[in-house]
Amino acid sequence: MVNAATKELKKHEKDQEWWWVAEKTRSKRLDYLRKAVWKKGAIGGAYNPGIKIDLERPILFTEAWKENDQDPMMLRKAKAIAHVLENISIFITDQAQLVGYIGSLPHTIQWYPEGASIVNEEVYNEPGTVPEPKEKSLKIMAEINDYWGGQTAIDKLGRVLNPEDLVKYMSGVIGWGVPTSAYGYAGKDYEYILTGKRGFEDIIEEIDGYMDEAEKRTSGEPGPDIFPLYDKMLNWEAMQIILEASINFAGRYARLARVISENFESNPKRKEELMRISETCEQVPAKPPRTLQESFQFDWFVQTLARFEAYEGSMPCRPDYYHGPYYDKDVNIDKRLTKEEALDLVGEFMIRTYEIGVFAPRWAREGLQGITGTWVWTMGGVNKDGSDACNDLTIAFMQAARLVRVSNPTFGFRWHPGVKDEVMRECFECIRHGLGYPSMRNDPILVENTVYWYGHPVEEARTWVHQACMSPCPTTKHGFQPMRMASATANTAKMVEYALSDGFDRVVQMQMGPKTGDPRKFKDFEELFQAWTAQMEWLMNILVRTVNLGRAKDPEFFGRPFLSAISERSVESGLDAVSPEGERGNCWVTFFTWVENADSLAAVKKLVFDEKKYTMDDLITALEADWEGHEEMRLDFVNNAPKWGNDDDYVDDIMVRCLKEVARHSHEIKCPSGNNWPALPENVSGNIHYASLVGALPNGRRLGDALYDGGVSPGPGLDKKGPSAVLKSCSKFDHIKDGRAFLLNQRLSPTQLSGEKGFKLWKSYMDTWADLGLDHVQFNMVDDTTLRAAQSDPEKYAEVIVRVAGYSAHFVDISRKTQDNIIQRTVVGL
Amino acid sequence: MARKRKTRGGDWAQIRDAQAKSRSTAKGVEGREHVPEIACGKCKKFSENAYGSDGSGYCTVLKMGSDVTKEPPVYILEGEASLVTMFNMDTSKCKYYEKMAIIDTDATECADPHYRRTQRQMANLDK
Amino acid sequence: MTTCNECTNFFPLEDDPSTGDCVQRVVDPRQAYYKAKPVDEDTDASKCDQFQKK
Repeated sequence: MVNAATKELKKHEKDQEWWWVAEKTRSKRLDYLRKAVWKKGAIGGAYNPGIKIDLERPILFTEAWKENDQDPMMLRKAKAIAHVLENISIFITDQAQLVGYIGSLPHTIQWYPEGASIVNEEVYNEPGTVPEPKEKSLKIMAEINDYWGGQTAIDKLGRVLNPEDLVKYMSGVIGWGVPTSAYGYAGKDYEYILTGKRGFEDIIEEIDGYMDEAEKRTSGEPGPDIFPLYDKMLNWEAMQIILEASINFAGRYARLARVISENFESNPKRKEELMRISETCEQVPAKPPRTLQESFQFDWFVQTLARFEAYEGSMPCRPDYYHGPYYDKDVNIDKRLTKEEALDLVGEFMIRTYEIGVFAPRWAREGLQGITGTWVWTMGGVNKDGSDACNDLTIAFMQAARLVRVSNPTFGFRWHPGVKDEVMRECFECIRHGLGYPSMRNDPILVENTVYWYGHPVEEARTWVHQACMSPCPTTKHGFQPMRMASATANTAKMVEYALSDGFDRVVQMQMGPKTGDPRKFKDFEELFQAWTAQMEWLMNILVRTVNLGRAKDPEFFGRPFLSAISERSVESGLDAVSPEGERGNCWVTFFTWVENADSLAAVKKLVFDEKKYTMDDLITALEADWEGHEEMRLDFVNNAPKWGNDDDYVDDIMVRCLKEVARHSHEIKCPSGNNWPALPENVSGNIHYASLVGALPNGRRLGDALYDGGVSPGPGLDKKGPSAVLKSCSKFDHIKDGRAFLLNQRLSPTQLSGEKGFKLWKSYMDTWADLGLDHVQFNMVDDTTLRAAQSDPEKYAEVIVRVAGYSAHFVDISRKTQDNIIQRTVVGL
Repeated sequence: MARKRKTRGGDWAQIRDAQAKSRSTAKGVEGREHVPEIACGKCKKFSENAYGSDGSGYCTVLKMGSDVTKEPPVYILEGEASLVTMFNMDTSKCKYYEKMAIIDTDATECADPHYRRTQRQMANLDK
Repeated sequence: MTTCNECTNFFPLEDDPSTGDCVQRVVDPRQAYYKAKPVDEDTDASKCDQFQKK
């Protein structure tokens, strides 16, 4: 007999209410932990009620910083962070098996006053997040801001940069990001730290060896070769200080768990769990992990400790690959964990990540609505020898994702021809459950792309992880990227906007781009295209110049002792991990709002130069008026000009030409390691943030209208020829040589893709996608009815997740404009 | 006559220095909390910086070199670079001041940065 | 003066009893947890609203 609970579950499945299915099928522990999290992602641009700034770290850090003003950067920094780790409050949540948080209390978000004064003032001004008692907190915050004013990493960089570059960059209209590792996306040398070969005690010993040798040499015969060793010895000391502080920090958790177990807890099972937590924290990160729990805990301490040092906005990792051997040992070989027990740990590992909260400046909150960072975890892929790397933990992560349903982390799955159907089915189930992830990545294409652009050896390229949302980066000694260079993110719709305004920005009323000529006088499309090319080069150049300098000066202005201490090349060289020396280079320029360029250029070519329906004077007059008073003409540009994504060579050829121009220039501009800067079109929710910063465009868009959802995705609702036409348009450029990666959003019908038949249809679509050589695709599979219902009754649908761009978010956490933009996307029938 | 070095950076250097000054002067709580009755942040011509909500912004009418705190105020209307100012800058002498109706101080809708005022200090003011 | 070492929440370090952790049970609107904050045994606890005499 089928009981009521099973009937209810079946009904939820039938109605595709997957959030209820998750809640009713996950363990009690996961249910408690999932609901225990304070959501740190912003609703649109505002923090959730109850979220408060953590003042313990800023106070402790500043205290120690002032005390050690005689020390060079890395040493001073290490001492300041060690002081924080020794004194900050820690906590252990009921039922948790993994411990560690970047703030002192579960509802707090971290603040790094040493990073940027502009952010510090924003922290002070932010409504709702000042901790109680408010008056006392404001006084503390004002004192901290007064101390750090003019002394932060960004203040220091601002004094070195070309003032014109600085002002234009900081205007907020041409790009975003902060050119310092204080707010960077930091990769990790996982091949050094996560392969179970060493713990922090081993690294301290390794550093002792280098310091002994350096001491010997600096006491011996004098010569110029010994000069760098004096600085290196101080850096090594800094690394040792922070490694020791990290071990002690874990020890504090070990002790707290033991105190709770011995003095407070009465449940024998929980007492035992707490003693296991204690034992785990005594073991890692001091020594290498022995079990799955220790392996996750080791990784979690690494992620947490790194965030005591800097606002790391991404989490470039590959958990199934690095933790997979421990899962296999515990579950399949030693059988010390059941699959269900392991699933609890896997789910909790995701929940701990979801819990992270750092104060993000408003542009970042608006550009990443609903989340706190782009934690895109990499799954699947191949081993260094090219064989399939999927394992039982890959499957466990997919299953856990459907149970905990967090919007952060999400997964990017490295598809290759050897992936088994069983694993593909798990990926499909996650997508069918409306998570919007995993995004599907074409591994053979991306490995080749990684080798092509930067010259990474193929074995290293095969270790790649998502450095942020999209860009692959190896996890090796010379391949990993310690600072993502996030500020090279271009609002590329400005390229075509400036080509049509002689470089003048009508929105902020400043001369931004180069003067490329009065557009009213352009005689043919070639003149316009030349102007566009000049604006494109200028935009890439100014962003790359800014961030290159930020990277080169970062060891002097910011300093990363912890990141250095877990990076083989720094441990060996005694240099800051962010120093470009020893890194092969893996930079890219993120291209927001990209497709608007092709659609706009195609519209001008067709309606002005080919059909001569309008003059350039007509067009510029209409654009300057934001199309006001020219509605009929605007609709002509919307409806009668070709649009990208319909397999129409007229506009597709322009897109390909634009990409090839960008690729040419990408080889001309160099990163601090001397390597290339390819482009990567994608948007996150920058299309909404920039809506009020991009003026009228010839694709018919007005100032304030949402921009397209990004990457190489067609404009919402403008792909009218079906999914094959979209794939064909996207296959006309080279996904290896024409750029770094290309985001493609697709909306599918959950009804059409239900059941076994649905899986086969999707598989067949994926085969076409792979055959055509595309590198990325991601899916939204939540129908309009559900999304509309969630708009009118957000509380009832609080757990509905959607794919925004390179990340997923809870639908209720994104602004109305972003919600509408997602609903507007075409649902394609396969 | 003493030799004078060539000035570099032009208006852009002036903007940089003005922005840096707005964030590096010791202001305490009072300097940060006080919003004058007639302040740039209440004016229609003030465009809040899209890069942050630190309170800085641009005047969409006046250019660099202007100084509305002087008596009489200096108004520069031509130039490539807009005047940098702060939301709580006293602008009672400025003839271009025009009070705007503040319609969005919430920010969950990622409203137009040119017409929003998201600072906590602005939340209790007359809308 | 009332000091931390007179409180039930104070747990001295085994190797240095002059210092230790103030361990408290907290129940917030979303979760329950134990938190620990390092304190010295002679810290003034006269104004601490969590003080509980041993």
